Amino acid sequence: MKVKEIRDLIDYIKSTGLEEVNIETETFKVKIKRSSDVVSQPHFSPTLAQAAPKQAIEPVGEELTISPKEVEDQKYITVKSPMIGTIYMAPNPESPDFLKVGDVIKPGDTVCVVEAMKLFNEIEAEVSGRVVEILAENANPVEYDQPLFLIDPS
Amino acid sequence: MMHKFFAKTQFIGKNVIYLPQCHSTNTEMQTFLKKTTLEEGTVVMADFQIKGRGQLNGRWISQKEKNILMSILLNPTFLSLHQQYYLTIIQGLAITDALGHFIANDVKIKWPNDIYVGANKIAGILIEASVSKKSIDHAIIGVGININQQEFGTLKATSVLLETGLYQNRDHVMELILLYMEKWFQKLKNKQYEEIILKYHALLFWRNEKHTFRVQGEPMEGKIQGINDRGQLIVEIQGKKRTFNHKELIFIK
Repeated sequence: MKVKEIRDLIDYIKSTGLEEVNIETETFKVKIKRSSDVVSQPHFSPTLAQAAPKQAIEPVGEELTISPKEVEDQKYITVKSPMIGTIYMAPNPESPDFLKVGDVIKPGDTVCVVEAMKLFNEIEAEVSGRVVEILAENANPVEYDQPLFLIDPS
Repeated sequence: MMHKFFAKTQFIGKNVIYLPQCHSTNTEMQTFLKKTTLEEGTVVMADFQIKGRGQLNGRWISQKEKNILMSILLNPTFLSLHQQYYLTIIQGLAITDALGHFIANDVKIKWPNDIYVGANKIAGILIEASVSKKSIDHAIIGVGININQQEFGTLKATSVLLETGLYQNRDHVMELILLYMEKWFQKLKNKQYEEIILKYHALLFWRNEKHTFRVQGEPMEGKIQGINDRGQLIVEIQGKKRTFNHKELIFIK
């Protein structure tokens, strides 16, 4: 769940007379409870909130509890670009992508190619696990340390 | 499979795998590497490539038994990923050095690493490296050089034969290239960065000349200044220095 969505939800609840809201899906569980009538703007940084939702979302006026399920994102390993360049998701335009969501990888497997100055670097996996999300787009520029894949090591 | 070997070099070309034809010497090298360990400096050469690759999708058109088509295995484990563009640069330097033995006209390097005589391409380089744990494990240097080919159709290409009127023994030219590759690779190992960049700048196609480029679809006049410490091209456009990655700018005229 995105920070923006949580914020919108809180705003929405504020505008209604609801005392308490519980939402649960496969990936998260949010409980928002009104503890006073004081309506103030929750202030949290989006980047911090994504990395560590627990500390970042301060209960200001509302009480917000997030179950451990919500923190699942942190259990994933982010594969980052080791260099600046252009990313290619397949060895050539006719071939299928190196990875798709759900694939299981092991160290040494090629996950993508990053090209810089016509030097094509096959990037090898350092971890094993299942591909949860692909965060970069084929033939786009990537920066150093830019997140490319989300891997579930369990 | 036939084996040759080059006598004058130190380590490049001591193990040569010759294939009359193949898909691409780079791909063959990768296939060999999956099956066995190859010593640094191993060369895969072919007389004809069915699927020679120029960049990821481009194709290298080369007639049978006319040109040099080869891949060289190097282990530049001493290079950090931020410096790896030097590997691209030194291949360009080695080929221009070698071609300088035959061709009287200027042989230039069109950024990043196409080799040109005048307005025509004479050689291309494609490097494929394997990166694990944030360092280069091995690099396969794919090189295609037009030697004795006369016909290029509509391509803006040339050969040693077209430039000089003379046929060359391909093995002889190849040995010269491997010798220069060793020389520049050694300089890189010795961290002689300044000398490498100085030479590269001196050979850079269109450097310090006013030309037209296409940037994001727009034609622009500019002057190439050189490359920065990331290997990006610096072009002065309307008094401002701008840097470009490969494919972010197109050379027009």
